[in-house]
Amino acid sequence: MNCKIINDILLDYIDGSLSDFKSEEVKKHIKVCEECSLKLKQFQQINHELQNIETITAPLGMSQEFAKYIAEEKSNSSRSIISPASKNTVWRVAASVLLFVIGSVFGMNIQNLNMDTSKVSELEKKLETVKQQIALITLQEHSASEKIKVIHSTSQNSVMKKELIFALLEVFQSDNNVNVRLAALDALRPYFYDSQVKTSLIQSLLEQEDPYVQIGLIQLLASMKSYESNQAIQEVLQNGKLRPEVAVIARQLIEKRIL
Amino acid sequence: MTLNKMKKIIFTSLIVISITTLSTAQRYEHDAGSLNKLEVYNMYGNLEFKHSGLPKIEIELLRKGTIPKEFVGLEFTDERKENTYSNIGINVKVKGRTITVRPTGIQSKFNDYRIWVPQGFAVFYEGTFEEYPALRPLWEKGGIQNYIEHKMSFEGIQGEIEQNCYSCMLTFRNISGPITANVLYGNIEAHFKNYNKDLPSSLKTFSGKLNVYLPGQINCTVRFKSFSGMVNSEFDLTNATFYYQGMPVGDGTIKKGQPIIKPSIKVDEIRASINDGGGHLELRTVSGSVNLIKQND
Repeated sequence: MNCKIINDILLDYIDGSLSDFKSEEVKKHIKVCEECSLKLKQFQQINHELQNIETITAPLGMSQEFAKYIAEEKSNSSRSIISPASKNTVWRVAASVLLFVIGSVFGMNIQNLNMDTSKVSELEKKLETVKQQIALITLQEHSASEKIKVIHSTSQNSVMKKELIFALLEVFQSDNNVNVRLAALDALRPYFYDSQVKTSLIQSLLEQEDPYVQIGLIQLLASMKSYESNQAIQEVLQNGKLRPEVAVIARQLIEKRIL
Repeated sequence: MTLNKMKKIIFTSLIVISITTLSTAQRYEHDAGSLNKLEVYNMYGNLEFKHSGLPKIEIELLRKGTIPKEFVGLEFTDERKENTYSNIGINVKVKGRTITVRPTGIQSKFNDYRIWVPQGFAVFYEGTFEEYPALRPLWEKGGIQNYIEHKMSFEGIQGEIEQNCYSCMLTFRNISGPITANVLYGNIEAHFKNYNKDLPSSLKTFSGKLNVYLPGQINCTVRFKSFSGMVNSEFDLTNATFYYQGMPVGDGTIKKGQPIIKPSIKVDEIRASINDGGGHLELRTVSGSVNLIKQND
């Protein structure tokens, strides 16, 4: 790993959310790199100071109001009459309101009101998730390269929230660009054992038409070595929807020639 | 004035008039104005996109193509009435800051065109079957590539490029990226002048070869994915992590010239740095080979 990569994952390393493999890589690098070692010490110092700051919570009811607002927006955005453009606007408004809420919370913090730390940190986490969700939902406005960049940055999360996973699923199932769909599939790979993700991806195998995406899905399903994933592959092989070259690879994967 | 001299003047004038008329007939122009994106759909003849530096889009008809018999008699299903027709077999539509170009008929689909692209324009190309439902069975059986194989090149384009085609030989020259290219059948050759640090490039071919030329001093982070193809690099690949089915299975440095992925080795993805690492480059194939080539600076 180089300094840039280490820099990107240093905070995850500090809060212990990296995999063992990556943590070991960071440790190895820190031992030999003075600059990154110094950065780590500075981050650890900041982290320590942040944990000692006495923080405050939002006024009673604000959190509930926020949750209610998001629930309302979700139900609004799920109505089919809303166009993608207005959907994006809704999310922008939601983001603005969220930013305002968080701003107010921190504003009150400065005024030393008596508030609860955990609620603020909960709101902070929600804000981060919503920000990433907004980035994924508003992807249609962006170019393919920008979309791939957003997906890469979302997949940097050591553990992804459900909302983000579903937003990625949506990108995988509906984006026009195959390279974007493949990037989303790669990002979803660690969550394939989630039953909802698995069901959605198995369903996708029957719907996706691009041969590369089909192979990516078949490889993922074959790696599961489960009865239902094998059934799904057998089904697409039998219904003749796969192009000949894809069918050959699918059979090889099922027969474990490549696995 | 002698008769001979008069004849010469008349003859020269006629030639000049003919050339002017002919060149006007073979070319379509549109002011760039506030436009910043060019979209082109379903052109299956040879297609060249070239950077012009002029504040207008120019489209030249280079050659009339031959219509494959499978396409004869098929009808378009998309709406064209509102579009502006040109005299070279294309129709043009402007919406917002995007100009969209489509062939006007079956003949122009197979013509060869050169498109001059203004500075900073993003370029988007896509070949689809939505307008040809009758071709779907051919596509599903795997035979469509025999009818729509063509060459496509992008030269000196400075804006973002997005390209999706079924069967083409694709070339990018003098490009800084970002590029998102998706070819089902055919090779991709990309010559990067330098590399965009902020936005990733992603090149994908199902069964073709992927040759990527990069300047020797480039800093970039590369990700290879291949199911059964070979990957070769003229660059040392440092900080490499090997993956199989999404799981890391090893790491290290790959010295230039060393074959990286063979069908027998259980590695289907490599992430590594070239020089100091930097902007992201994704290269994907199923069965074709991937070659990272150091170009002369």
